[in-house]
Amino acid sequence: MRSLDRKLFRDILHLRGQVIAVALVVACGISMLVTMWSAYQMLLRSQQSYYASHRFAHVFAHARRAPESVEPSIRKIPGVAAVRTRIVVDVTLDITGLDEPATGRLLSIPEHRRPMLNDLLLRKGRWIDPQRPDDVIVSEIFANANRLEIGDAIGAVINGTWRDLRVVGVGLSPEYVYEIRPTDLFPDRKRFGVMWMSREALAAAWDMKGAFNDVTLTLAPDADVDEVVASLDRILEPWGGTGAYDREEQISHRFLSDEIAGNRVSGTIVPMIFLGIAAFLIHIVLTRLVQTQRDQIAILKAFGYTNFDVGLHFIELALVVVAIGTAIGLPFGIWLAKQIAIIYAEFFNLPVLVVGYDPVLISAGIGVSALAAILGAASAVRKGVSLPPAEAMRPEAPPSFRPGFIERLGLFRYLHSSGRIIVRNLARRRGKAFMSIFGIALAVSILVVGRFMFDAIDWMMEVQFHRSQREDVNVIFNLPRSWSVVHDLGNLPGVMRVEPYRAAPVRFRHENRSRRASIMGLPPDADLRKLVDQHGEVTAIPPRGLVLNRKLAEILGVGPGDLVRVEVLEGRRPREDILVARIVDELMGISAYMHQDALADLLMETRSVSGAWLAVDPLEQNELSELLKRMPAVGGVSLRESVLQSFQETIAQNLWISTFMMVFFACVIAVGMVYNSARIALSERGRELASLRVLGFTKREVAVMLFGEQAILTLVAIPVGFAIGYGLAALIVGFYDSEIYRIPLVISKKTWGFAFLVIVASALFSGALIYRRIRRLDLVEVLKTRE
Amino acid sequence: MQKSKRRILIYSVIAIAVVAIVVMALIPDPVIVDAATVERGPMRVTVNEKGETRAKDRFTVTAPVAGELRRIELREGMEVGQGDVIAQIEPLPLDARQRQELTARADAAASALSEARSLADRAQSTLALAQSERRRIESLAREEIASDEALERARTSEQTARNELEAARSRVRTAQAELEAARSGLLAVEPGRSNRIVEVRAPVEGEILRIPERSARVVQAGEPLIQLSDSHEIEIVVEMLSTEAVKVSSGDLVIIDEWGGDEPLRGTVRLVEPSGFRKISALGIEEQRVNVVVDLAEAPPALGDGYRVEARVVIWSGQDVVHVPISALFRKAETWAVFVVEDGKAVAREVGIGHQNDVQAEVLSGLDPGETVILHPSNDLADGVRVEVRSRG
Repeated sequence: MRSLDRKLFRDILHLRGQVIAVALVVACGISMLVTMWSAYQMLLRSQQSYYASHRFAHVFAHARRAPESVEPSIRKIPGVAAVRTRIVVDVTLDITGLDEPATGRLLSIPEHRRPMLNDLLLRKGRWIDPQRPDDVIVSEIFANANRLEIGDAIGAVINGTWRDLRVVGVGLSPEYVYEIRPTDLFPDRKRFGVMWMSREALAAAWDMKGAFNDVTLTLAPDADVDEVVASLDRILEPWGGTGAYDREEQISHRFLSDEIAGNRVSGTIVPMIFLGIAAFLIHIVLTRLVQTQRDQIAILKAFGYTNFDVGLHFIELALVVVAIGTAIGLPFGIWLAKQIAIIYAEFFNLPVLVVGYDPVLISAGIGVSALAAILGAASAVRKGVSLPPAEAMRPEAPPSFRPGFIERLGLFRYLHSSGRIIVRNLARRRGKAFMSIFGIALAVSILVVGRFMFDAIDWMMEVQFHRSQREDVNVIFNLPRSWSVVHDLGNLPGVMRVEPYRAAPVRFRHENRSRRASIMGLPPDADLRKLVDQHGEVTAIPPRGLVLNRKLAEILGVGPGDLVRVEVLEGRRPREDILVARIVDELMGISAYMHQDALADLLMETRSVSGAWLAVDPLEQNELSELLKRMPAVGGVSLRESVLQSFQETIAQNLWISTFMMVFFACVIAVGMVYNSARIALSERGRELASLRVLGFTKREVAVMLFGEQAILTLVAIPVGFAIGYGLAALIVGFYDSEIYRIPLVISKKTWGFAFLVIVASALFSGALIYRRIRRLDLVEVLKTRE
Repeated sequence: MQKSKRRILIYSVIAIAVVAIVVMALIPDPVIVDAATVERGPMRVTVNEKGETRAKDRFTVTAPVAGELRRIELREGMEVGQGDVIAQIEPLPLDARQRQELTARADAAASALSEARSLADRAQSTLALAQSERRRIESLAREEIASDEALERARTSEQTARNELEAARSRVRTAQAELEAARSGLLAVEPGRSNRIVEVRAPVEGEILRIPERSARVVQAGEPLIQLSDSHEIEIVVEMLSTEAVKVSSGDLVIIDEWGGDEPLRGTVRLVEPSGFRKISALGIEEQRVNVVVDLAEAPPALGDGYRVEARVVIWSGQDVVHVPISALFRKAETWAVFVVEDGKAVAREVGIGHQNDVQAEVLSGLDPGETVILHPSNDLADGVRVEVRSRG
């Protein structure tokens, strides 16, 4: 076997261009899989480990004011493992350097540090001092966003009186990995933050001595969550409970899980598609590569090597290619996975990063590539060894010489002799032409799949921030206010238009399903905020009945015309069955809307206002912000521009990382594929081309023949690839369907153009490389091989 | 020769096709925008505030003396004639000081009445003056010596004078009623009178609006017993920010919305009260407010006393105004600008803006009627960017 090994070594050297190109495709398939999947797994495990180590609760509930004496009965609910009662209040903050008022959520903590549910990870500074009631620990996210340091003072309106709070520490809690104001769709890190404060100080300020307004529970492993939630609801109902909920509805967990779930698609489905395409390409390329070695197979057989030996030799060749690919792809993938996981962990504010790789997955990736390569080589070898050596040594006989379809049409008259040869070649080897087209088309399609995500993000921003949200400022009141605030707001400096809304927290129930959400009561003539579906079309708000967005309707399992039970969680707590009038296919969040008058009827009140959208003259924006800060009725302010920025920093950036990876790998695969396709065509045709040269054709004419064929194949492959790409994109879109956002199937001209350009450029680049070879074609050498 | 020419032709066709595809792909799609047309037409600027209805000429009948009030048998909504007994009080024995107080009250009522009378006389003569002035200017205007503006001013001052006379007369009636009540109280406690019941009589013929408490009880002198009104007419009081009220003058058109009916009502401002008061707004800030009193052109019978309405006072209006939706405006440094659609492109243009309401803005310069402007211009827009106007509907 020593001589065969030497041949293998020489072959590899000889075919180095192709070997590298195929190995790159293999490397991309494997490293894409390893990177994206491992990063996703690390993220998932980090989340779980963080939750476990800091005792993230399972069930959460809020009430108006419940006495401590209720706690033992909560503890006695079957299945409850641990209970923590606390005081949670939202206050208006004045942060130095921030023009608008910020909202702070104050959470009570014990005066002395001890393990507790939703435990704090102290990043900087110290625990609060029992002697100093104004000590607070600020969340790291909020502190970083506002550049707060230990020792800084924060002005806060605490139960109507102004107090300076002092930052003594910076911490993190699994409960607030994402800090989102309940009325917002995205976190606004600058204007909403969590702070921890001594329970005694909070109790004194809010008259909560011997009472609590918030409780969190962990459950025993076998506990029935729904049963516990129902029991907790019963216990807290008399104390103004707003409905208990489990982790699924806990906003930070929901957001983090959905964001991680978004990575599941780019971490599993997309690498699968990539690996599949890579495997398929490896298969095609190796089949053809081995086919070009047909004469060698015959010679080896003639020398007495068995079919098995010959087969093994070529499979070894294929495996070497895969091994080189793995050697490049695996370490790169492992390195990249860790880098990305670090970025993600920072991005998701996970203090814990569990680094780990799944050996099964890695082996599977390599296995799939190797199998594709072996099958490709084996099928070609089987064809080669089935022929008697003497016949196999001769070049493959042309299958038929009857005039083809195109010749019969008489179109040949218009073609040059090289043109005729091109057309004949393509027409007579339809199988091969088809495989080439399919291979290049797959390369085109992954370019489309990779790039289209950018379009989707752009479209989401267009729909959400330009067609739906058009206000400059959203003012949120701490309590529902009377309608006359509309006039009061209109009288403030710079305010050009006021559109009030009412948001009421409710629990929807339908059959066995339920979901907490809030109903937005909208004015019918709104111009600053519109209901817009995923195609950007505006939906009107009907005078009666509910408008649900598609995601919420799916969660509840309702459609237009169904009745849904609405339990209002504030005020008089009315419960009513309401007709679902319309479903709107929104791209973000889960929302329900009603006409403002219909909502007022449901709430049994005259029109009241929870907040208002304002159009503001930018020249007077600062003056307005100053005034809003000092207004006791204002609980928070959000600016559309900063929400947009926050969206770009969170969701868009997250999608951007994975999209960038996809585009990068897609480009490498596409270039490798096109190059190989052309390179193999040259090997297959070496003999023919040399013969033509001997017959008197010039180098240029010969090159035109080869490139013409490749050009036609590429041009036909592009539209086919577009179609496949569209199909794959549609498939992926189906998987990005979380409560936070849905990805629309939007592919822009830019993406089509990008795929087209990359393919054309790699075709030209491959052509240039191959032209060099044609120029150096040694006629004697090529023609004499078979003698 | 022939062949190579044809080949060149083929190559150049292919090359052009490729370049064309690439160029087409790279040219950005036109930005899809909402747009509206600059129009010429009527426009008005309003000051909006919530208001409350109240009965015009409201009389509050108070207890003339301290004593035991018998149960009031009347009910809200009942009609009473002038001089009808509406309440009976059995006075408590008075000490000297209380008697003195009662006398003083009667004296005060008498002087208030005489003051109200002289005010009414003065208002009468002011009105007469304003009327003759108006007639004079009207005849001058017919000969086109006086300007329309002067005529308008004269009419307004006549209207104001008439309103003031109306108010003065109403004050006279109130003062009269006060005086009568005080006198009857004084009579009732006159020592040696057999019938010691004070009968409180209706000062005017009218409808009872409100009885704070109907049960028998002990009342203090001056405590309100019954509110009544001598007319079915109602007016609207709007508590307006003092900074907004200065823009309002009597005679301004008022549109009343959200009163419960389908069609908005019309009214005119009768009076902007000269004195303001302090109030805490719904936003929690302290501010100065002024009562603006509005007369309704036609009050629907369903509208009672103390009902809530939304008032929009027209402080400026024009019949022939070039206006754009305010959502088209954006700030370019210090000045307002809009994007105009010209040949499928967005062109930024500075505009001069005059009056503004919450929907439209008056265009002083920079735009002509019929031009198309882009609404809610997004960040993607810049001068020269291609746009496509989204069809609405």
